[in-house]
Amino acid sequence: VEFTLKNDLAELDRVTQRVNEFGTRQRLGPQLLHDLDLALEEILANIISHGYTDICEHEIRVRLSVHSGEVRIDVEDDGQPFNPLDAPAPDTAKPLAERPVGGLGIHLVRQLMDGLEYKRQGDRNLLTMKKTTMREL
Amino acid sequence: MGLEIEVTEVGRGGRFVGLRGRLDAQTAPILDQRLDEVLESATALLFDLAGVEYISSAGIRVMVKARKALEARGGGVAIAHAQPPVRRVLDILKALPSIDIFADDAEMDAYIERMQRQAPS
Repeated sequence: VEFTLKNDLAELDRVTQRVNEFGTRQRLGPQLLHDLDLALEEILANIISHGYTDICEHEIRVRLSVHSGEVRIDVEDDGQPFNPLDAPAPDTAKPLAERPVGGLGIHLVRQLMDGLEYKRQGDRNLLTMKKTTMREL
Repeated sequence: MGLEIEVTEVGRGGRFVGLRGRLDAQTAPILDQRLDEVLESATALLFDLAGVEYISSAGIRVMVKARKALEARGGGVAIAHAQPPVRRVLDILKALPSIDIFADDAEMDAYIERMQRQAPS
């Protein structure tokens, strides 16, 4: 499945729908589906809220696929360079209120997914998230 | 989708905040705005998440923000009926040490009673 969305948080409802359609077709379990939906929201909300320095409309491309027991999500955007793998892990020993708020979503994505890959290609961020489908069998 | 918010007074400064739906990047600002009004007169909040099947970091941030505001004046925030997906997210983010999460209704009732007792007369 491949689709694009605009840099507007209102588009996220449609993303959830697409993830659910994809999950039903691929017979993915509810917990896996929840995790994919959540990881994708965190990444997209981050791009939409922090990725752009202008107020213009931008397009973000999302691709969902399954290869040999692994779900793969590719996200491509033309925002500022941002590598989620470089984001420092939050200090979870500290009470939540004392931590900087920004890192929470990325931390969640890292915990939910089995693999993250990032590369910058020209003026685009290419992020790949992977999660095995085996765990729920 | 979306989020339904129902606020009920408990005692003088306590507010029971019943939520239903998705607490995500889109609906969190709506809750945030509602809480800004509620926080003007409240000292303690109890979020009932029985009807919430999805929460993202945006939703957690709103609850943590409310907690910060209330603790500054001696109040607090608690969570009841967190469903498994919500509970997992709270666990991953280690939100547990900073917010009371009730295991059962008895704990919740005790908290509500405390909220009512603390209300100044």
